[in-house]
Amino acid sequence: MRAARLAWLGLIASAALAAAPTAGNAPVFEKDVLPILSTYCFTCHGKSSPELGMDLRTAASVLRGSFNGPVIEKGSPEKSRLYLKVSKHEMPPPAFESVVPEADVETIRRWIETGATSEAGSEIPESAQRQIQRFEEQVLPLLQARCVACHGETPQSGLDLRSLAAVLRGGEHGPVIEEGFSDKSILIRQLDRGAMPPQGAGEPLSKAEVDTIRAWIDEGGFADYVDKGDTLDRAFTEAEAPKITAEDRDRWAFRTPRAVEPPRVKSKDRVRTPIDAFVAAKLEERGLGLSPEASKQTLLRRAYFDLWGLPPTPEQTAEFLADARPDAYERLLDRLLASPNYGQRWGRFWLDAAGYVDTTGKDFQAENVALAPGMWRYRDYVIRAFNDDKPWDRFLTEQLAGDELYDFRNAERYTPEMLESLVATGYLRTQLDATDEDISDRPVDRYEAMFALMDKVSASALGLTVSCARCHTHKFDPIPQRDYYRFLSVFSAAYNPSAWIQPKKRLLYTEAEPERKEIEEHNKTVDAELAKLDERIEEILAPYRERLLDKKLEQAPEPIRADLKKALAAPAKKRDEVQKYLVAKFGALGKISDKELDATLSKDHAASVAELRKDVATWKGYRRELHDIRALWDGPELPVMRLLQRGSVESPGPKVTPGFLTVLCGDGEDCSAEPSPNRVGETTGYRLALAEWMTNPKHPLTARVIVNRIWQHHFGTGIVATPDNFGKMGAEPSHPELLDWLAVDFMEHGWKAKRLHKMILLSSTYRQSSNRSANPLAARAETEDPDDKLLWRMPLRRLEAEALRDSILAVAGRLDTALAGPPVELTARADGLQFAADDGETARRSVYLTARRTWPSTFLSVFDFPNIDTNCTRRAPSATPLQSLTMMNSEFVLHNAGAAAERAAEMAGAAADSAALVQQAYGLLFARKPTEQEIDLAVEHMAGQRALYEKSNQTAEEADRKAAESFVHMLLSSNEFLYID
Amino acid sequence: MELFSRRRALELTALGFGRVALAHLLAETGAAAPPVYNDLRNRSGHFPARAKAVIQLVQNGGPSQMDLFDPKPMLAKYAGKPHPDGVEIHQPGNKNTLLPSPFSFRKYGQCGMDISEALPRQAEIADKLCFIRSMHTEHNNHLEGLNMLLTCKIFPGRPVMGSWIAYALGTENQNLPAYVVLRDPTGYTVGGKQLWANGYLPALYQGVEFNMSGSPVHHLQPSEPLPPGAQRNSLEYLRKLNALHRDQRPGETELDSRIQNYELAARMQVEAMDVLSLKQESDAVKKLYGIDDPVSGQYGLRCLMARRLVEAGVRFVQVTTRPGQPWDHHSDIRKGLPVISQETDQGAAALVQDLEQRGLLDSTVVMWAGEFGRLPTTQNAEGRDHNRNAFTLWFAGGGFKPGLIYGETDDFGYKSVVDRVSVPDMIATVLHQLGLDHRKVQYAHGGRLETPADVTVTGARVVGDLVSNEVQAA
Repeated sequence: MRAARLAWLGLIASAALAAAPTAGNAPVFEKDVLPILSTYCFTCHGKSSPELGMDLRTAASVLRGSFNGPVIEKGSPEKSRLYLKVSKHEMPPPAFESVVPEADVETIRRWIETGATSEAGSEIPESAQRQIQRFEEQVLPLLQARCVACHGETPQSGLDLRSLAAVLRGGEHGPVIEEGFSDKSILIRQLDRGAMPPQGAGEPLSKAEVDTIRAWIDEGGFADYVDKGDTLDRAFTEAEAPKITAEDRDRWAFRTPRAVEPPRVKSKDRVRTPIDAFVAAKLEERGLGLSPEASKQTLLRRAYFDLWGLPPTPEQTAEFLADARPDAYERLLDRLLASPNYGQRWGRFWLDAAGYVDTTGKDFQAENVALAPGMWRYRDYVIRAFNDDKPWDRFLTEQLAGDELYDFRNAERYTPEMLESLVATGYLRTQLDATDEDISDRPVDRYEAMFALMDKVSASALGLTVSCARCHTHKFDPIPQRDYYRFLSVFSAAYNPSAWIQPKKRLLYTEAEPERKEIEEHNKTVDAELAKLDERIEEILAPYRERLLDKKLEQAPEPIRADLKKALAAPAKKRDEVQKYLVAKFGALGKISDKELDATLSKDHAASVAELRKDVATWKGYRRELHDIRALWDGPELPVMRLLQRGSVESPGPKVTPGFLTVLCGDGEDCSAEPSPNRVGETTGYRLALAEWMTNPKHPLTARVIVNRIWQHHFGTGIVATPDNFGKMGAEPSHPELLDWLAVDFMEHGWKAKRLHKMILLSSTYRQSSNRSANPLAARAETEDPDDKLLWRMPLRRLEAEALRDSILAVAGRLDTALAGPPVELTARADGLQFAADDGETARRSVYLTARRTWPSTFLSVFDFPNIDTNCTRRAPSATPLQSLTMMNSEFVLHNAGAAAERAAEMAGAAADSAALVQQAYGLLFARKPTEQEIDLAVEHMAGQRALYEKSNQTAEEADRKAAESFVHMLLSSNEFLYID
Repeated sequence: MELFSRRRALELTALGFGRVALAHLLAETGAAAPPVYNDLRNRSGHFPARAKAVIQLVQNGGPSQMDLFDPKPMLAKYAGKPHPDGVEIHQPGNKNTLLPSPFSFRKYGQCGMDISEALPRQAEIADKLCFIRSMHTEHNNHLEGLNMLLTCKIFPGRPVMGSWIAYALGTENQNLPAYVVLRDPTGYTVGGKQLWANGYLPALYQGVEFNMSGSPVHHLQPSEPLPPGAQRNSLEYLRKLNALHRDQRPGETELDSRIQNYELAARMQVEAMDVLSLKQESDAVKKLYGIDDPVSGQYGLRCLMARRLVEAGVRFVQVTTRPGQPWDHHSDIRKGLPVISQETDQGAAALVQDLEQRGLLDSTVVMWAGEFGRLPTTQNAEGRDHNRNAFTLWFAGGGFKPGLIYGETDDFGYKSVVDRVSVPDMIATVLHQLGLDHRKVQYAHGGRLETPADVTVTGARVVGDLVSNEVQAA
């Protein structure tokens, strides 16, 4: 083996020598073209699994082309993609910093022009011949002896193991060997774990026998030299596109929701809304009942946190508790739902589901944030949509296809609706797309971004986990692999893997194209004026600068002065070695600040310069900025998309065209997508078709998924506990009839969230006490339904990270509830702590902090703010000592405790005693009055702290302040602050 | 006064989201329920464990196997000639010419392992180490390579090995985190926090960064000094507040566990400071790790801390190099490689020796590994590009065979060819030594039962040849 390799070393050397250009004659592939390709292209298009199937190592493989079709048209260089890519220097990609010289480009052109000829019988390398021979001699006999009984003439699972070509073609599940990687090869794995041959079908292979096959696969280097026959344009196999049967469809989640009459129940007096009828009926079936209504004070706090994520102020508390009207609670809900605080709270939930981040790329460096310019406009869009109670069918449509609703391409000016819809498509831009770096802008990376998009859309809007079907037909849900790729194709005119746009170049502005040009023209004029002004200023300054420089350089040794001056004058890139050295060593001497220079000016000149600079400032004010948005829009055409066997870009299968999930379409419908007739502008309309399909009232999932998500955020758990998965692997609904009733009611009343909130919050179910012992049937309930799935009480809930941070700021009187705008910067401390840069006088709500994929605010992530790898449909509240440490010791909590204590003291009045402070603090933090016992404990605690501070030489005043701070700090840290009853 | 018994405290754990999905998953498959955890209590694995802790020395950048552990005389013999098959390259500036190692090699110990002059300390303890020369991985980019090394997949989103282990086994010492990360005080390596990300596992299982100076974890100490006794007073007051609150809400176990967390936090304040104090360490130990050496001191200190943490009952410790990717020598490897070698060689070797002297090596797996290897060919001026096809790593302790040299690469060190070990195999084997069947460590996510080495996709297997104990199956 070694000898063979060395012989080949010699071959390469002699081939290199022989590869002199054959000017005049028609170029021949092996002699003239191959050396060029091997130099510039083999990195990606030469190895055993070439990018996009484009293997440039032999004339035959070049003529065969890539997965996307031929790249050579004999005689027509201008129609040959290979030539076009190379001559435009699109290939090699610029990131490789290697450019094919024009002479070589010309050789390729001539080669194609003259018919793309090659030497006859160009040979298979010796190493490949050896491997092919090894298969015949060592591997094939094993397969013949043990496998071909089933994998032969009538091959099971479509897998024929009678020849090398057949082995390489694989079975209906895709390839069974992966060259170079035996451990990833299905063939080896099946043999290894003794799954094949199946029991009773013959003797398993010995370890030595398996190792023989393993070693052959690991050595690799043969697959490209075997004619496998064309596997690309075959039909779908049964495994890739199984028929969806009636049995498959027989699941509640795949049928259109139907509303049944709310049931009659015994506890009629508790039925305020249909919700109560459904819940009480389930409870009564099990001999259980609702808990008594919670106190007015509890309801107040519950409603505030649920709808705003903020505690009520003492004034708001007083107002509500004093309101004796029978509809006081309903009026409260109306007030809360009308406030912009509502959208800031509820928008965040959808941002979780949408996987919202402000950053672009992988976000792997703590200190360097790569912000996605203008992404925040999508965040504001979401918050606005909630506050405006935008109907959800419209909300989803804008996010999936806002760009297809208006002809924005030909608009003179964007209308507000047009801009709004474009910004909405930011929903499709939040997933990880790592292709900004040229080095990772390859087909596999592009598909990875598209797969992430599929994960997000399916988990957030569809309520199904489809990602399994990326590699194989879903094992549990009726989602054929073909359906996955059909669905993926819906997005392919926008995310086109063959005509990819890197995220940094996928840009639109808040201004329409003509306006953008106008602005650029305008700025050109302004910039020209600015340049003239700069010139005039420089004219005055130049002699002064020269004089000052000479004076400063006097500090440098005399012999080098002249050279140094020359070196400094030279542009940095043009300096020679000596000059570079001089600048490095003495450059600092030559540095002149504006201030220094100005000080040397004559009075008159100083006045003129000042005047000119004023003009500069004025002109700069005339510049108009362009504002980025992160939108998605279609390219000119739908590319050819294929099913990828085992999810691999390297193993494309049959073509697919856009379509949806068959199981969610009507019986017998093919569920393929047609461009929406409602599309506007030069766009394919497939995403709009998707939106129309999803928001059709017949769709089994959309409305159910939305109402379930809203329910989940009120009760802690959804009616379906797995909001992202209504499939067989998801949880079964606790109240299926209720879910359907709500879904139908939601659609019938215009897809409005606020109406649903109100219905839920008005229900007796929501208004129950959370106290386990309050329920008269508690003992029975604890055994029948210990997890409270049937809602015999309101669950106790922990504040989410944002609500906790916002509430701390709110009670400290420091919360700025302003709407909208670019994200608040996070600062990275050397020890890795990320904190909001606006922790000064006031601070914005947490939804406005920079949302980072990997480095979110430390405070938020300690309290379970999610890692945004794709998206998050449900946060799991944890309880960790790090949370305790954060509450006990962080500057943030301590600082705000001090501010809250001061507020309480102010409210209590100057002459007040400790007890009065305690009264106010309880009102401020807990919206209630303290008990006698609580007052005593607090007063005692403050007295103790005061004594300790005085003992450590603090003034009485300071000791008082610190004692009050400590008291409020512990209230903030307490479970009462963190939990909602 | 204890609020409740320790046993009861340990029973009070909020269950994570996984349980809901899981119940249905299992109802479907008819399998027995694997447990779902959201706590750190100490638990045993599927079969008797050979080791109970892991120290992972992550070597960012891709250490060059043919310049450290895997000498290739053919490179010198055919220096400057092209590699016969061509090699897969990653970045610009590559020439397909074979580049001999500028470092000299010698055989060390009874095992006769070849180690280059760049790592004299590790050479001295060659007989204690278990070398795998036939590692291979899947991606040539750093981030993807690191994700692969730690999670067995190249894309982010999966839990790292340390998180899986903390999840499966909890930890012995409840006053310290189960999974501690010791990083350079001046910054993060490439990959940052992704190197200790819990992925879809509960946040509890994320690696906790310990700072090497000042306060080891964020907010361990009050942000401003308090008079003596003030914090104790506060916590006592808080305890009373929370007790009143809880008494009105009988049966809310989550409230209990949160009360208990404040007690844990208070104990952590003491113990975490103690564990990072070097007062009890002798001069000889400090010297062994080279603590006072300006070059190797920083890394040595982290290695010493790793030992102290394991001694204190921490389950998994991850030690990173200085910021960036210091083993990434795209040019002038002759100059660059000795720098990072000198920084890390002594600490790594001292750690193994020290653990052994204390009788801890037997129960601790030490792992030294980068994300991939390097090419036998030249990049830029005497540099080497990334190479996913072969790299060398070593283990020590925890039942890994001392003095074993496992696997081989080809004539030029480009590709591992004999007894190849994949990253998922490696992860499966480490878990095995901790008493875990990697196939049985499960977490329901996205409609799928996920496992640390994802055997159904990767075909991971425990490499029995590497360990002195019998391979077990649960």
